[in-house]
Amino acid sequence: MRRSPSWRPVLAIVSLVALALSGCSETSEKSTPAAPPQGGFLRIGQVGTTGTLNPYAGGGFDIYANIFPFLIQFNLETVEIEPYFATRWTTSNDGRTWTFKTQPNARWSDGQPMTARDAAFTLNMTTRFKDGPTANYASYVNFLERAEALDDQTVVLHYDRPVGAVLPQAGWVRILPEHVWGPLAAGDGQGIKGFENLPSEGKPVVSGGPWMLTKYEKNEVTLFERNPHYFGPRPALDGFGVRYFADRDALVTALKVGDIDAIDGVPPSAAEGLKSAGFVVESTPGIDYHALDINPNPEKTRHKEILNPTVRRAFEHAIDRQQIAQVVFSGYASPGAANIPPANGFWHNPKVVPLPFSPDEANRLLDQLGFNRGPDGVRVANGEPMSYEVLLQPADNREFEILRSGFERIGVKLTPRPLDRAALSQAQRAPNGKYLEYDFALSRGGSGGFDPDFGLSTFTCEALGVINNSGYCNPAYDQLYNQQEAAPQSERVPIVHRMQEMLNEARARVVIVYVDQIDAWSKDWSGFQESPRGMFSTLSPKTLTSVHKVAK
Amino acid sequence: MSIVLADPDAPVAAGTDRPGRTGKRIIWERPSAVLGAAILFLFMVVALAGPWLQPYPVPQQVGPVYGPPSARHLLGLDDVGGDVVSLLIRGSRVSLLIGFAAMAVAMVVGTSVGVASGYFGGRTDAVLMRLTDYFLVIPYLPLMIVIAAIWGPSLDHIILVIGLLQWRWTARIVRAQVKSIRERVYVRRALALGAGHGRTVVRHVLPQLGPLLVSIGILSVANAIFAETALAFLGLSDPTAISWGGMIHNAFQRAAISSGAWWAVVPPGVCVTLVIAGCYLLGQSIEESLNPRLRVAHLSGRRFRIRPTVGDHPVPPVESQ
Amino acid sequence: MRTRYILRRLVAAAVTAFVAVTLNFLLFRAVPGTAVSNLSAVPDASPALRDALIREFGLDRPKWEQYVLYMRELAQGNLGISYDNRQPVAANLATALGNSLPMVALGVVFALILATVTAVLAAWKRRTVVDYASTGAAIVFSSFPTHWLALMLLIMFAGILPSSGTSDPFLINPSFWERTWDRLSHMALPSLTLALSLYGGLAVIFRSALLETLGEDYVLTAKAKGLSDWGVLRKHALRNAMLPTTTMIGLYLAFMVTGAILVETVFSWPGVGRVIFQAVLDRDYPMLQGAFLMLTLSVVVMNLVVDLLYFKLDPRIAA
Repeated sequence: MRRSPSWRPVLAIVSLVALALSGCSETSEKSTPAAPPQGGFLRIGQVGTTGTLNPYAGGGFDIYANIFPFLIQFNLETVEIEPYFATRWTTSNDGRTWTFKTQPNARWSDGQPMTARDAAFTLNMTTRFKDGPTANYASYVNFLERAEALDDQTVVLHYDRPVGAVLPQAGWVRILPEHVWGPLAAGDGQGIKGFENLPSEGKPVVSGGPWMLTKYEKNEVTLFERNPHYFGPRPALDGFGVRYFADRDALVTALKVGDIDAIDGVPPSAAEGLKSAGFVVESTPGIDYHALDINPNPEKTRHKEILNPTVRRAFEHAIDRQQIAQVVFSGYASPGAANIPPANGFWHNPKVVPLPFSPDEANRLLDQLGFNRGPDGVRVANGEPMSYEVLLQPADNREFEILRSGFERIGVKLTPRPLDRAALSQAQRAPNGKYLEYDFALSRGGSGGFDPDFGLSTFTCEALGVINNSGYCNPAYDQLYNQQEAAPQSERVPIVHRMQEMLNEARARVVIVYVDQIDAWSKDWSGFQESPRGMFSTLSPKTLTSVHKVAK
Repeated sequence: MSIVLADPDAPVAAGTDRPGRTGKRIIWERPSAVLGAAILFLFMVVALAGPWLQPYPVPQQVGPVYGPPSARHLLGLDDVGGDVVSLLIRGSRVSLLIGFAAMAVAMVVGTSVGVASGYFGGRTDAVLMRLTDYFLVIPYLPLMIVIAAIWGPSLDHIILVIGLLQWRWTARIVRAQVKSIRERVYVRRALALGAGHGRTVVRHVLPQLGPLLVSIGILSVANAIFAETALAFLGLSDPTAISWGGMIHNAFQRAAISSGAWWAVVPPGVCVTLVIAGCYLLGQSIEESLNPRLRVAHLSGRRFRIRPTVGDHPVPPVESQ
Repeated sequence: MRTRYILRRLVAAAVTAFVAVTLNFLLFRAVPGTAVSNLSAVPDASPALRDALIREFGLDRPKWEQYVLYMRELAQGNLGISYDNRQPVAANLATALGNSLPMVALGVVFALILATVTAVLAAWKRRTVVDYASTGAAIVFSSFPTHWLALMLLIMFAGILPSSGTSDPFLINPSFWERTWDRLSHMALPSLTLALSLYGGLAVIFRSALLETLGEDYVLTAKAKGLSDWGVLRKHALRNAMLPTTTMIGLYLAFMVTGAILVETVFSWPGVGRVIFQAVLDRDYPMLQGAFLMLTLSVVVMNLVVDLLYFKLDPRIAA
């Protein structure tokens, strides 16, 4: 009954594949087949919303990564920076001028030439309006004065001071076609944000990445087709579609009954079930983590005892990370302490390790400080019971339970205060962005991408009230942050390692576990390249280019 | 889905001046009333005796995540390995507590507004009814969603929110009834003799409202429990409190159905349904006993009885059915 | 007489609407967290972005100024721009409504049919097994929590009927019939859930109204004259029982909205319910105000329609 409408497209695809296969005999399961069979249409499902098709209106980051090129990209295995639209680059001696050579003979999906001028245009437009319409890319064009296209394959970036992190910043701006966006950037640029950028019948969104967007239904579906003019390696698939679900049950059910072929973001509790149902389930260490924020603001009004580093060490000893990883994430998470996860490769500082779960050690430390237990078992510090409120999102209640029982063993009482996301960040900053009131908050963080720049920026003083939720502010840390931003790539690593040590000692954001990315797909498909953000991901345009149907 | 009495603006015939005796007899004769009361009684016992009844402590993990039903765990385990039977028993407390507490809030506010409105009439009535109208018009669940986002999800907030949005029904029903009572001969006489408003209300109006309030109250409980389940399901109730609504929410969030763990979803819903149905049966019986016309409709050819009615007072049935 | 009644109702409705709009505005300004509180969740956010957003949304202007601006734009039919996708709220709502309406309408129609059949059957065969069974079923169904009922149906029909979305987005070049069938099969479960959830309450009320009518004197007279039970039902009871039931339907609208939100959440239906929910999380005030306004106004309008219908059905109402 329900199956009959789906027979026809399947038939069409199968015949396409059969035709294509008539010349091929490769049946490799590995991700680098010699001559992958061409064709096929992959149906992906995920929980979430589509976002908009306008990078400046925001939200559709996964989409942009697949249809707009960047200057650089990251190697999925080594996390190193690789050429993408830019083929090579050089820096001037004073570090203020960067010259990029771009792909020759590149075209947009509508056939128009894609040149360095498009890159220059995009960067200039972003810079010009970064106080207004393009503000969400302001951090990408820090200190950029202007971009100049010398010819069709050369673009020069002029900075007002030496900047080392140009590649992960300007190199990561989604390059837009000047012939579409040019008119919008005229005047005061007010037309930029309101531009819907929708595909219409027969006219996909003008795209430059491996795919072009042919259909968009807000929060329902996005359909992509192979971009015939893409300058990079030709994807094996004819196209793919992403279907957006509101809840995880529907998502998993859809895969099981065959409504979709793959899931980006399997809920951990469903992973085993999918495996036994015969699907391929793979997990990759992720770049996101769950953490416990402990207010580090020395001006906070109450409970000043939690500012004491020894008390913080004791608190960390009360966190049973293993239990959380097992129960809350069904094992698809790993305990950790560094604010830049291991998935970031060489950026992660392996010397920063979590304190073991040891209520005994915690009790010893707190006893030494003289915080004796009261008649109800709760310790008293400076005349006040060690009883704290923990701000959390309702979805994290299971984690909270485990924390609560761990802290109970060391004589500390935790009470939950559930709030939704917006109210929670408001409450953490209370009052009025001064961070005076909160004690504990369950939070999420991460490196933000393959390059740790964004993740590190969430701990700077400048980010207070904006994206700095923990309230950590340390001039010495800020100094290091600026240093790593200005330093050339090779010199950044030791600075970034030192910053992680600093954050770990401060324990303003105590990492609990790094969360794995879990994807699943039917055995009919293979060639997926795993990335810490899943197959349909903001991190790389490469994840889907080798996917193909398994020849039978 | 939500329990609604008949037209709230129509006065319910008040039966005799002492509704107690005839009313009670009529109620207990009805099997549906008995059934409803039995269900409610059972759940209240379970809620009160909870900690001694539940086989396992909650929310502790006593087995694998989503363990299937077995001899030791009759209804299986939930998304963190807690015993479902114990969770149900423990959850009855919160669910019933919210039901009764929200009902209390709704009754107090609704009755006050309804009495004031119906008794004083005139401008007070007009103003209060306009107010109720606004509240009736605003879609209740979206409003609850927003309010829960303002105040944060906690049990107290949920009780207040549910209660404050339930009073509109109570107010209108009470008002209609108070209006009709106020016109009664004895009330007019009392006022003419110089009795104060307060005394009149307490001695003459409220007792007449008694049975009506009981029936509204019971139905309010049902509505409140439903609302709590809905709010918990949408993630707007206290996530660390164990309630039936919360159990359904956790199961939904943690992919219970697609994991095949139906036992995490079905039992809490069954409990909620039973309590709501019980409330309904009992409340409806009381309401029907107050409205004798409903009992009079025995018009099949075999059991034909004429029931004369005299003004407001129907003569008690010659033969009961 | 009649025109005065109609006029009074219209004025009352208008006033209600105005107050509701103002309350909406105030409510959303009182909510903690603003559209810029969520920035930590936005990749690439920065202080510059926050300032730009505050300026763009006018969040730095005094409340009363925001209110005046809002009312002025409203008068021109402009519901504002959604913070989420920078598109007009009216357009977003129209899309969402276009998704919700068919599903809800189908559910309501089905509920009405079920309720009528149940009530008539129960009243006709009162005090027999048929009465008890059908009324009992109505009570049980109206006691099911709507979202739980949705989950039950999902479990029962998994694999047989689609469990989410309005259509299969991956259908390639479907014929008209294929597409229609696809849409209908996706609508089946949500509408069914809504119908089963709504019909119970309506059925019981309708049955009570029928029974009450059957107790009236003129019905006794008709019976004495030899009219059969079914004849009585058809000629007198049904029509007169419509009155209170119609009022009930009007008041049921609020419940329909509730049911729709829950059903849309379970079945990932991109309707008004989900839009509201997402807008609350994002603190997308313009969307929320617009959605509330739309819901409130539609309830006011529907109540008005029901009032007028009531008036038409019962000529006894004069002043």
